[in-house]
This record gives sequence, structure tokens and C-alpha cells, in this order.
Amino acid sequence: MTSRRGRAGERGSETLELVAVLPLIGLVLLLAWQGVVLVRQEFQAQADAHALARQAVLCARAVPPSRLADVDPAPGTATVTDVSGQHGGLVRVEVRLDPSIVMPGFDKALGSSLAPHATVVMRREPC
Amino acid sequence: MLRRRPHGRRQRSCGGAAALVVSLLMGGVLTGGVGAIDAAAAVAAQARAEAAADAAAHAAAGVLAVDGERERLSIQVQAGGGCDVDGSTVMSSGSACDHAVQVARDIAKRNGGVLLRMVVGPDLRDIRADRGAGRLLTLVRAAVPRALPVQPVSCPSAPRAAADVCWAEAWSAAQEAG
Repeated sequence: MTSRRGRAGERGSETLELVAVLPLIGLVLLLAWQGVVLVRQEFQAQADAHALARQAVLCARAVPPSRLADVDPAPGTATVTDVSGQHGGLVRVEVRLDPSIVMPGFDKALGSSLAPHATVVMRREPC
Repeated sequence: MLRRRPHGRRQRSCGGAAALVVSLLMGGVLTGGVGAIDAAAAVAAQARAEAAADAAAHAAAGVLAVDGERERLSIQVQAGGGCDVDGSTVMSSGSACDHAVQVARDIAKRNGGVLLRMVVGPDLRDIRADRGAGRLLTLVRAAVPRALPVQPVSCPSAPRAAADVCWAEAWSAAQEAG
């Protein structure tokens, strides 16, 4: 009788442990997936900035200025600024994508520091 | 009393095993997390190195395209003379080359990188006996620090000649239109 009750108690505590650990495992998996999504977006931002910079340095007469939506449908902002350099006109392109949130509250917890962004500086091509 | 002892011992050992499993799991998650961030930083740096090399190569080619000394440089590189920069060693054949090197260094720096090598050579399309000055081809190798979260102790402050863990390298070429 005591042994049967002991075994049942063990089983109960194992179930309790499993129930307690499951959310933790879920949280860890969500965090890992969130990391994968952010890294992918970081590469995307880099590629977008590169593509926009290559278009922005071309002669304005030849190619109309392009926007982020032309190279990437993902929501975000692209800032193209002219920088006066020592060796001629430079173009600085900064792309900041809106982070895709997999884990609720992740963006509020970490602020905008983890938002995928990239900067590329190129020299204007001669017209 | 004597009957209960084995059961209590079993419970204690179960608790110990569970604690060990949780510790191992947490250790695995932490190590995996740091490893994943490290790998992401390493790969992201490669993209930045490619952008830096590309920007530097196109900037140098753009400078050469409008330089007054361009034709002389073109003939010189076709004749085997050089415009070759390897680290701090500069094999220059004139002011056009010097200017292009300065621009490439500046642009690589503005993209968070360092110019490792720059070579200006003749475009293969123009290497013909009847051809005088022709188009130029600019090759650039740039390096960008990987900025790993777990920085190896032996990370050099400047890139080495050979590839290393701390610096990502990339080549790019710019060809004159025509």
C-alpha cells in the first residue's frame, strides 16, 4: 500500500516537472527561432542597402531614384543621403527594416537596438 | 522506518538526475545561443566585406575613368607597369594610381573596412596589338572585422595576410563600361 502510493507520487511529481519544463522549452525554441528570423533580416537589410547604394551612385539622369519597396517588399525605411567626401560626392544608404516578431513582447523588451539595419557608403559614378 | 528509506533514497536520486538534466539542458542552450550569435556575426561580416570591396572598387574605377592621367596609366599597365597596392606597399605608376588608391582606402574605411589589395590592370577586351590606351580593370580586396561576441584572445588589430577568424575578406572588380 505504501509502495503503490509512493510510485503514484513519483509519477505525479514527474508529470508536474514535465508541465513546469514544457513552457521553458517552448520559450527557448521561440527565442531560437526569433534569432534566426532577425539574422535573416540582417542579411536582407545588408543586401537591400547594397542594391540601393549601387543604384543611387549612378547618374541621376540615367536611372530614377529607387526606393526600398523597389528592392524589397519588407516593411522598413531607407535613407539616402549625400555626403561630401574628400574625393568627391559620396552617397550613404542606411536601411532599417521593421523586425519580424515571433516572440510576443520581444521588441519591447530589447528596444530598437536589435532592429535589422545596414549602412553602405559609395562614391558617385561620373556622369 | 526501515521500509521507507529506499523510497526516500530513490526520490533523492531522481531529484539529482533531474537537476543534472536541467543543468545540462541550460548549458546546452547557452552554448548553442552564443555559438549561433557567433556564427551570425561571422556570416554578416562577410556581407559587409563584400559591400566594402565593391564600393572601393567602383570608387577607384570611377576616379580613374575621369582622371587626366588615365590614358598614360592605361598604356603603362598594358606594358606591364603597375598600379598595385599590397597592404602598405604601393607600386604606383603615377598620380592617377595614387589618387585611386586614396579613394579606395577612404571608401573601404567609411564602410567599416580596410583596403588590403588593389590592382589596376588592362581590360582583357582591349589587349590587342593595334590598341593603344584602353579600358581599365580595377580589382580590390577588402577586410572587415567580424566583431564576434566572443572575441578570440589572439585577434589581431589589423588583418593578416592570410585569412583568419577575426576578419572577413572579399574581392570585387570594377570594369569600365564600353
